[in-house]
Amino acid sequence: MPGIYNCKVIENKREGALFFMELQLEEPIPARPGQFFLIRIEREDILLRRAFSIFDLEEDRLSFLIRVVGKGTRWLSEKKKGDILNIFGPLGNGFSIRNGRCLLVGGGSGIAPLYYLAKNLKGRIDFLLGAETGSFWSEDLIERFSSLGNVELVTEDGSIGRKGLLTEYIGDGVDYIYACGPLEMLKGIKSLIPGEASLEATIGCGIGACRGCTVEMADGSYRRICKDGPIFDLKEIVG
Amino acid sequence: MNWNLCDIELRSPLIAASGPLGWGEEFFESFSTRGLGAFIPKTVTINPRRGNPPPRLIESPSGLINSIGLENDGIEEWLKLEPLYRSLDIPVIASIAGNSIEEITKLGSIIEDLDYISGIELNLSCPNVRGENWSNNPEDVFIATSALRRVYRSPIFVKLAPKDPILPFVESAINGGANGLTLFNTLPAYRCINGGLSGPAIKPVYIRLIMEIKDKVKIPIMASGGVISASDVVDYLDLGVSAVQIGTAFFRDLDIAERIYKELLGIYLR
Repeated sequence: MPGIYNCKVIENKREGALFFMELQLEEPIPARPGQFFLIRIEREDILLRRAFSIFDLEEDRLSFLIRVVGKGTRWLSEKKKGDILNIFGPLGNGFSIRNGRCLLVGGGSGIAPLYYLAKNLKGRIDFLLGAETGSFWSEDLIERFSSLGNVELVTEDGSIGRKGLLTEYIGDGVDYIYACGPLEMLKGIKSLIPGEASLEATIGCGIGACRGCTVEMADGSYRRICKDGPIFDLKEIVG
Repeated sequence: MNWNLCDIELRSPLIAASGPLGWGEEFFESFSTRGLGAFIPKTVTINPRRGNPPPRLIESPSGLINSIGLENDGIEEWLKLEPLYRSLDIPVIASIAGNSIEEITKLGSIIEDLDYISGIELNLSCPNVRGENWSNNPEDVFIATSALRRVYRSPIFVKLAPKDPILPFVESAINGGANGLTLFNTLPAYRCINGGLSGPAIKPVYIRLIMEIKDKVKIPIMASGGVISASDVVDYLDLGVSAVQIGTAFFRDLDIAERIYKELLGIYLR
């Protein structure tokens, strides 16, 4: 069941192009990888909460990776240790947990849900992470991912790792794909390997009631990201 | 606090506006009716509606533009929620919309038989459905309202668009047999999408429109537009309205009604 919680910021530090924000929970909140929380932005001119998938959850510590894209995320990036944030969650369906060799594909800030997912997987893990340029990731962040599996990096400018688009490097030899990133990137996954992906949209109520976060699937049907997702079968997205 | 809205007893002047909480199934799974005087489920239509293509929500400063397009599963599915609506300890007012007199009267006749529904809010003003807006001229408001009046005996609240001047629309609703008014639906707006603007940005506009008619109207008014705090509620109540709807503010806090109600108690007991 989702709940509304006030949490103290333990840490909020820049990690490459992202912010790593860790919160102290008053009590452990059970949540599945791929689920998300809505954070209230304490600004008069912003009504909607901002949605972040769980980066990590350990007992009473919950963390997010935040990319500054507007006023709301800017406000979050300026939070200091000891500040209180109001969060609502966990929300959404979460990833399914599969056995076998898994490829975890993260484009840009789409790496956020993959770490907590990897911690919950049992089989061999390969990460394929992409960004425009190498400075997007911090060394610390890459190290954290490396502790859970093999990491391959792809940058559009070739500054680190392989050059090009992430989707060009999705090979075979894995049993299952988990992906998160921009919709165009996800639609570029033409692999025949089964998988699932996390989508994002502006979220209204967060509980499936308002129909504001609807996305159109490959077959033309409408689904609610906050309730039917954010995780969908890759075939539903790509067609 | 005891409030009365067309002989519907309310324990709070705060009404959950039609839309943000859907038909209530998801909301009442995790949240209670605390702070609320009544619940208005999302507008129901005769047939299921797919709604508008995404994106459907765009923010603007102190506001939110939505273009949901009356997505709903139709009256047949809505009737299955009877157990939920019976279980609530507050009145439920149905919100209906139709694109013909036949649809409106059909919905009215069905709901006339439901003893667990306290009244109807006639949504004549969704800005997000093409060619189905009854709120563009006073004559249409009269036609739609009087048609529903012929088949429905309990209170009818007509939900109007924020037109200026508003008096001709209000008079048409009253002449058509409305027992109350919901003022107003969202304000037509554009930012990336065509939609209806809600949130604090629209409140001064709505306050002014209600000021224009408040002394000329004898039937109860539910104000709706931009309420996010107790002081917003007081601003509307001071105009003499009977109840105040909360909509977009639920997106900031799903327990907003309880929060505002507690604050209101503090203000009125002081």
